[in-house]
Amino acid sequence: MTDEISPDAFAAWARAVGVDADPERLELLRREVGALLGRIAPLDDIDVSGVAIEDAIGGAS
Amino acid sequence: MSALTSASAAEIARRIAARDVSCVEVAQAFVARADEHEPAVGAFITRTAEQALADARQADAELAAGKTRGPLHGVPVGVKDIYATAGVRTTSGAALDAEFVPDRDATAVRLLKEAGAVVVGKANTVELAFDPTGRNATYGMPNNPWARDRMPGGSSSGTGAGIAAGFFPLGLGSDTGGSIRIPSALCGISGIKPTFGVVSRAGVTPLSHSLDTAGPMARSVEDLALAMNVLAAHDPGDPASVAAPAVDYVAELGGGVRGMRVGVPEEYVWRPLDPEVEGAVRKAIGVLEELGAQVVPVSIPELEWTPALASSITTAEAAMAHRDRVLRHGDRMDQTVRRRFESGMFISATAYAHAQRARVAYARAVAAAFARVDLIATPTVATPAPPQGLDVIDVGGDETPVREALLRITRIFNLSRMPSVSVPCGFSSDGLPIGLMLGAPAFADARALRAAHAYQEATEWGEREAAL
Repeated sequence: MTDEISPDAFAAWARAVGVDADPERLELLRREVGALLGRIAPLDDIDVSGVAIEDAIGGAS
Repeated sequence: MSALTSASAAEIARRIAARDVSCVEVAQAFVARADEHEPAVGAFITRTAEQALADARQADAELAAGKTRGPLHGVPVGVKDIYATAGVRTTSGAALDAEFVPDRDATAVRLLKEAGAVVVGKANTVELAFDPTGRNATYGMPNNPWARDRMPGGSSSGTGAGIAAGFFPLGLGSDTGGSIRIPSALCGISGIKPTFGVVSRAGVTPLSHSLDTAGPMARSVEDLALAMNVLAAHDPGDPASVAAPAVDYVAELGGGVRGMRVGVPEEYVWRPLDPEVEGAVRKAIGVLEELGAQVVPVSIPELEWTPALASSITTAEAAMAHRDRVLRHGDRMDQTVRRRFESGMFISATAYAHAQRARVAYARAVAAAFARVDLIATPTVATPAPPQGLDVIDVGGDETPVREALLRITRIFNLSRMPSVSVPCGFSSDGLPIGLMLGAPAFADARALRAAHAYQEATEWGEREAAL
């Protein structure tokens, strides 16, 4: 997924979330994040309208 | 192994209570066993042999004075090194914490000690419990006692390997995606991930606050019940701890599975799956049927959400829990583990909230299946123990990342927050253990233990010992 994000754009994204790294490490992280985002992409297709946010984030369920 | 180091925790406790053996003799036997074989296994990060022998002498003195602390009086235990232990270093598997010595015990450790257990050491774990293989760049990966070139499974790697090697009969693990049940299956022992909130996590290094579960691992299911009688208690020190009704897990072990409805999922758990694992688990389900259970197919399409849900929630929460460590001290971490934590920072708040809402929908779907069955039976892990160093493994013809192959099935009961037990159910053709997993609805931990105990009593898989 992050294949679509240029190294420069990813570097800016990383700085925004607080990660500061040299280019070599940043490239490894870009691949890691890409794999993660790929794994979790199917979540976008799940209908969660039947679950109130408070039931999910409040820790009660 | 000697008779003592082959014995279950329950058997040792009975022998001590009957004055058939002293606490010191028991401690000496297990310490000697670890002296001889620990270099080949690597189950411990820190051994506490001297303290264990001193505690055993104290336990004998108390017995001589007519005092018994509890059901684990004199029983040696190993403690995963993410549980705080007063006066004993607690590394969480991290180089950064190599010298950290807590001033108090985690609640679970305190409860075990109050019940008479003797801590023989801190068991190896992957760094901050964030990996299912057992890999640890600082303290090494324990070798699987059944085949030293194989992974023990993780993250409770040292507890699994230590029990299988006869270094202690009972231990503490923790389970966010399978970290009790995976090493239990791969090392040929028994383990329970209790219902979320039943066993306190106070004093346990967090990974994923909405999924982390503390629990025991042991030589037998009876041992697990014995430990649950000690560990299951409400603790205000853990915000997730629940005040569940008291259960006598040992008393509930009897009764068998006659009349129980055992659900077998139609989706997800059977592919990818090693054919030998499938064969052993289907035979085990057949044994439950022979014991009087009714086997019922169940359909839970939501199980297909498992990898995406677990990855998003665990990784985001891991980054929340350890953000400061990763940003300030990341250069002192295993760099593979560091990247895994850092990647969680790239999951947005809205994506995390969406995943948590999906998790609740998922849990409701699993709960709905339990309206029709009493238990759900699956393989614990899709493959026997993989070779160390492998990143991708052939699982029944599917090239599968090793981490995914290990975590794939156990995560079901983390996401649903329900209990499940792994019990040995066979061996692969090259002698590696295979685990059967029995899940139950929330707070029906005793039911899962009862069924696993009935299975263990009817089979001999749990009696085999690794030859070191």
